[in-house]
Amino acid sequence: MTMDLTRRQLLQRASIIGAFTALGSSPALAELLRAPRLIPWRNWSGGQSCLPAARLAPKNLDELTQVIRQAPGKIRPVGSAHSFSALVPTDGTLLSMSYFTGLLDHDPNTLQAEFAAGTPMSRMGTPLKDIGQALQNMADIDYQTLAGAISTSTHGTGKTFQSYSAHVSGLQLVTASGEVLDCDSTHHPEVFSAARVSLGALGVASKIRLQNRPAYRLRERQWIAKTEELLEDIDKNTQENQHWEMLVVTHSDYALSIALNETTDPATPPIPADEEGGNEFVTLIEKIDKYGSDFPDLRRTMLNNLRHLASFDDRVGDSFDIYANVRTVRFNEMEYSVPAEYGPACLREIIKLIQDKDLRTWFPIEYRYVKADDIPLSMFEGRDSCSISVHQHYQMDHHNFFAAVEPIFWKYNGRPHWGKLHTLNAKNLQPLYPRWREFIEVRQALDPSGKFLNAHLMSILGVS
Amino acid sequence: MPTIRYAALLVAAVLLSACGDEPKTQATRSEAGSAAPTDTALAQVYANSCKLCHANPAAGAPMTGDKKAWEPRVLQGADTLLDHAINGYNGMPPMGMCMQCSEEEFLALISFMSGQSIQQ
Repeated sequence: MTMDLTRRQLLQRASIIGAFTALGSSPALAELLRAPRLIPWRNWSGGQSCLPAARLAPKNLDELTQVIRQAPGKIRPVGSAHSFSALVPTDGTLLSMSYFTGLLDHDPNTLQAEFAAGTPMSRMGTPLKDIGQALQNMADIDYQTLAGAISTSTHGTGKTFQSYSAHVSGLQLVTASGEVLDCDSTHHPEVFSAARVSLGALGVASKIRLQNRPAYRLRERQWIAKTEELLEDIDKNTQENQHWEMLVVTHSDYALSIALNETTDPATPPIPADEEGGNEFVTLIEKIDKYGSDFPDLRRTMLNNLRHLASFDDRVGDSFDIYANVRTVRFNEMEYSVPAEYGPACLREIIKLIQDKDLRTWFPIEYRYVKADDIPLSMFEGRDSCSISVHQHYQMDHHNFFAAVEPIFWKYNGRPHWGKLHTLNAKNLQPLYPRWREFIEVRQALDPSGKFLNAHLMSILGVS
Repeated sequence: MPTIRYAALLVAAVLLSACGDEPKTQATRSEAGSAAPTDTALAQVYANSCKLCHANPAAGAPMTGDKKAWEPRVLQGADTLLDHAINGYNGMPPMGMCMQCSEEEFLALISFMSGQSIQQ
């Protein structure tokens, strides 16, 4: 994999080479050779990378404020590196919040709980269950950290369920000046409003309070049906199920329909580990594409008949166990949220494009619903939405595929997921967000020098 | 669909699904889930990074303490293990979820998980 080097990085390397040349066979050379190599940062898919000058992980709030005050250049916070967009890359300081983890406090009366901001979502379910609480909804993967998830308006599915960000009832933010702001709807309300979806551009969140609900179990039901039939039954599927989504198998006529509903039924036995999350099914689709892409009709026949090999037992378990799946196959992803009523038309157009142009892809398309919220930079601000995600295996080029699909999202007034790949900049984004100025003004007030901005953020926020 | 055509599809699918399969190894969630490095700082790093996959059989990663699963990896040498940890490999994400880890910490974590001392 190649890595683009900035001019500064090239100069740094040139100076290192020069130093080696001058050192000749001196003892200092041996010392230099023992120096630790520069370790690049890459995101989960490997599609984003950088060589930060420093990778730091403060252990407490004092260390965090010192790092922010003293770092000489830019700072970018990083969670689990699961964003596909270039939110993180920096040649300055990469700031990991991995020591800020765990449940800090909770209130059994309000059902609110406060977590350290770097807590992985996968480590929140059990401690919440122990205090009788649960997140109101979850995404289908839980690799993200809490701060990363809310910074990008990460979401699950369900017409009456909002994103993680909408359930934030308070947060602590360390700003560019090192000031610690405790924000909620009454303290620094304008900062709180913007910081619920901040892209990490307002400061570094150190702890986050969430409005939860009593712990609950879910029943998962899966079935395969013709994509067109599922689309015709959209109203039924989304109204009769609390959480419904479908995974459309590209180059086929079928999709996997997934419905989750609250239940008091006892938990079912765990399924075999290698069947969890449908990863074997994904691998099978990959291989059919690999060997069948030169024979589109045969490939379609084989993919259509995969339904005969699939059987699904209902699963019942704690909500956090049922929502989340392990993903053993890495990918890159583009996702846009369009007004909910446009979802079926948008999806149909994407499927038709893939078929007509025989676009090279095999990853299923994910189709979900999210309820509107009131957060300035949320993809769901002011409108109930349908989120449609296209994926490409991490070793396959995604540029042509995503470039072909993206204009369809634009046609339906789509807003790109902040953590996923897109090509929009501030000029394109501002008209999509009626409350754009609110965020821009808060950011300018909190970080006038742009300490928390990288090139990508400057582009999408319109900062020169 | 004629039976023979369906059977051919089934055979093809089974053959395809077998391509590239790695041998299954014994993995127990409880053993891997309870193990932790004795060093407190390393244990905290492990809990928030490696453990998320290496103590979960569904992740497909070699389980912590499963020496048989780690053996072929260890035989590839420290440089390869480090390269896979830093740059990612198949399902293994780059950095293994530890954004601040040094080479020494990566090697210490691999040593702990594999049950063998890995040194450059």
